[in-house]
Amino acid sequence: LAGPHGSGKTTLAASLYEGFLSGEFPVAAFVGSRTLVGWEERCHLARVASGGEVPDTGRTSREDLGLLHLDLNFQTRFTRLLFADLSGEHFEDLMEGVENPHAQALLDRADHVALCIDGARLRNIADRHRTIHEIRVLQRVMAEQKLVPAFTRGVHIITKWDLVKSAGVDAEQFARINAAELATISTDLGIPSKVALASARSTHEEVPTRLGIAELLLGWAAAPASWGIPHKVDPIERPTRPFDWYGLHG
Amino acid sequence: MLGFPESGKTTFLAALWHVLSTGDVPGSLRLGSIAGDKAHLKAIHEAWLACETAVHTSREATEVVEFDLLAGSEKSGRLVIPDLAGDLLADYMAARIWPADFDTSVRSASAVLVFVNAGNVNEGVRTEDAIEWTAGVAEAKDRTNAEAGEHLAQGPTLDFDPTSLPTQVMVVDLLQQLRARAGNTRIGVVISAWDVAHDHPTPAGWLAKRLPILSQYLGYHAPATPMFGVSAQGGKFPDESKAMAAIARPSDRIQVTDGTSGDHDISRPLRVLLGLPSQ
Repeated sequence: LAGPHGSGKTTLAASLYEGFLSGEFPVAAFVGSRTLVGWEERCHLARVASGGEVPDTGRTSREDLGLLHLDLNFQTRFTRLLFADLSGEHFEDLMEGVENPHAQALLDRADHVALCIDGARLRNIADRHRTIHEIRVLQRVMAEQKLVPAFTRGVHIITKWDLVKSAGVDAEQFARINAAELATISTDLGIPSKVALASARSTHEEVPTRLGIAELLLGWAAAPASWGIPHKVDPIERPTRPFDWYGLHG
Repeated sequence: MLGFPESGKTTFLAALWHVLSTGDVPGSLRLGSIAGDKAHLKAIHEAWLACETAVHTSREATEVVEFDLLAGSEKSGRLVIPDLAGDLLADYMAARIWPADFDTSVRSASAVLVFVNAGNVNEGVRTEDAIEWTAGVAEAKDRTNAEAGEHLAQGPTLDFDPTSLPTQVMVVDLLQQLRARAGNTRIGVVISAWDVAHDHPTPAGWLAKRLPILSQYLGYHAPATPMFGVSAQGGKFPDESKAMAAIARPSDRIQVTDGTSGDHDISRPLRVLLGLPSQ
């Protein structure tokens, strides 16, 4: 999950997890997680137990390693997902040309990269162009510096879609057109991408809670046959991607 | 027997001891000899007989009870029940450590009966849902809109407490720890206070609806997990104590169901889990 701070990365991840807690994803069954406490911590400020009067998501600290784990069963296919939910400051470093070993190490192992476009900022004339510009810079840095492997697939997610919808047709069109353009540029740069709309919460009657989350999950769980790397323990056929070691030794 | 605080373990144990020792429920297991802390058993049994809330396992104690089980007149096995204080289990969620003797019990257990209380489920209710329930959808939209727009100032919030997570999260975490130590341990589930789960015909159905990730976790790792709805008290104390006390035979208060048949045999979850025949 990549994007500047406040772009909705953590809220998106927490919403995905909450969807399992409430049994809302019939396409996949929960099989396990080694980071249950980490998921829960991210959900805390949106829970009654926090004592908060409005749902919120805590800001991810720069020190948080940000790895969240889910084992899922899609019908009969076991899938292990490892999410990197880093503080936006890591990505702001990359946008400013500052080396960031932690973020780079994770990007170097990413099967999928989700570029989060902050829908709330797309509503405002003053913020919207800067928001698009930041993502444009981030994806250019990732592609030109080869921060992600050749097999990485992208998705440009317009987060907080309920707020975009509430802002009217102009904001909606601006968001759709610019996200599509960003996805096209990303694809041209070597990170094939498409656009997704997501809303972790619902503030618009036409936008359901967890809009787009199940579809994103399916996309992330799908492993193109071209990867062709089996999850088997075989000392001769060594995995070529570091994350596959997690599968072998997990 | 494993379960977090208020999950119904102590009441189950009191009723189980009553049935094993009196033998007045046809088909139930019978008590051979007993070892361990009899004072604890005596206290919780007397409370159960008096239709009073049972004395919960003290925080300091790990009560170990050992039963010899009888099949007919033959000894068929020994049941060792470390009734670990639920508070100690809750603490492990925060510290990620638990007592060494408990760890030994977990590693050597051939079967584990996990307890969840149908009347005491922490759902982890989301603020957004609570607002909708209490103030109506329209107001909820307005409030959330306002928050999302200009970051409405919010009053102080409570710190994250890993010892009070949603019930299903804590139980799944516990089962993951068990399976990491003894992957072949048989698991059974007791849904206690079953008398309050009126709207669900089967324990499995209740679990799938109310604790979906626990249900899905078991469905993948242990699909044959036996599940029982158990009302060891028969009703809510003290509200229904008078009615319960009027029942001539105390074991008739007990209700046990697997979703297809119901009876008063509180030893049934153990029999099924351990593969023992009806007596």
